[in-house]
Amino acid sequence: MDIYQKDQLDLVEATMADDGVIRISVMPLMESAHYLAGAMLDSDDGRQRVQLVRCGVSEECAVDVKAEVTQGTPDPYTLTLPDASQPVDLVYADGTSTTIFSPN
Amino acid sequence: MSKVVLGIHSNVTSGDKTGGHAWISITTLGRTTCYGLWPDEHGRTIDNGSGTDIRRGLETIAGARASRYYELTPTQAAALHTELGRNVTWNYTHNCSSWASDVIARVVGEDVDADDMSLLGAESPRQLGASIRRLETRSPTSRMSPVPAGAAPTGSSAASSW
Repeated sequence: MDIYQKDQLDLVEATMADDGVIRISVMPLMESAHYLAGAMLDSDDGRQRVQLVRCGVSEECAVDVKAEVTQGTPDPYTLTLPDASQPVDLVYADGTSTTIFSPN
Repeated sequence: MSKVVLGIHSNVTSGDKTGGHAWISITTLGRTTCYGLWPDEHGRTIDNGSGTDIRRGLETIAGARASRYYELTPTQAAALHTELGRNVTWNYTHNCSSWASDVIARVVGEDVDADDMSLLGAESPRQLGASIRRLETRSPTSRMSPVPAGAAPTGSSAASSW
């Protein structure tokens, strides 16, 4: 199990859904030996930190939030964060980060 | 018979030795369909038990970082149909890049080498991608301008031998 690097993610978008949660849409690099299992969550100084977990197909990867995808399609994965009150930073394997959501 | 163009693709040409993906595409009558080899255990696939691991529609050409294209003769198109009907199982030593390379070799006779020396000769998408780039440097192709039907193979794409 490892964490996705920035250049292994083709698309990451985070939006507030009608039900007040954050929906994150992710398109990781297509890989048949690995998949997006979900995310590890952490909070630090009023900000949510999210790390996307890259899991080998023969592994079981424990995550805080599971990634959902419609099987049999090339669609992006979706993750749901229940707390939309704090900004969300996506943290990459090298420790750098990008803010992907800021509350209004 | 309408023109059939077979493509081989990889989305990596370097990096992690088990990373990335390789697949094929078939374009006919302006419509492109992609096929790749994926394990049942993958989060994106439907587990079909002992059924073939050749899956349709999980890839798009847009994600490719290296591509090569071949126009097929009717005989080659029939051979491709046979390949797609095989029951093939994914595993670490016969993976997406192994399958894509095998299809091209069996259908058009060109060696798009995917053997990765750091994997003791097992195939990898990154090696396949590098080989595609080498072949394209010698004889560039595109979906609109593929290797002509019936043309002799360019030869092995292997950078070096064992």
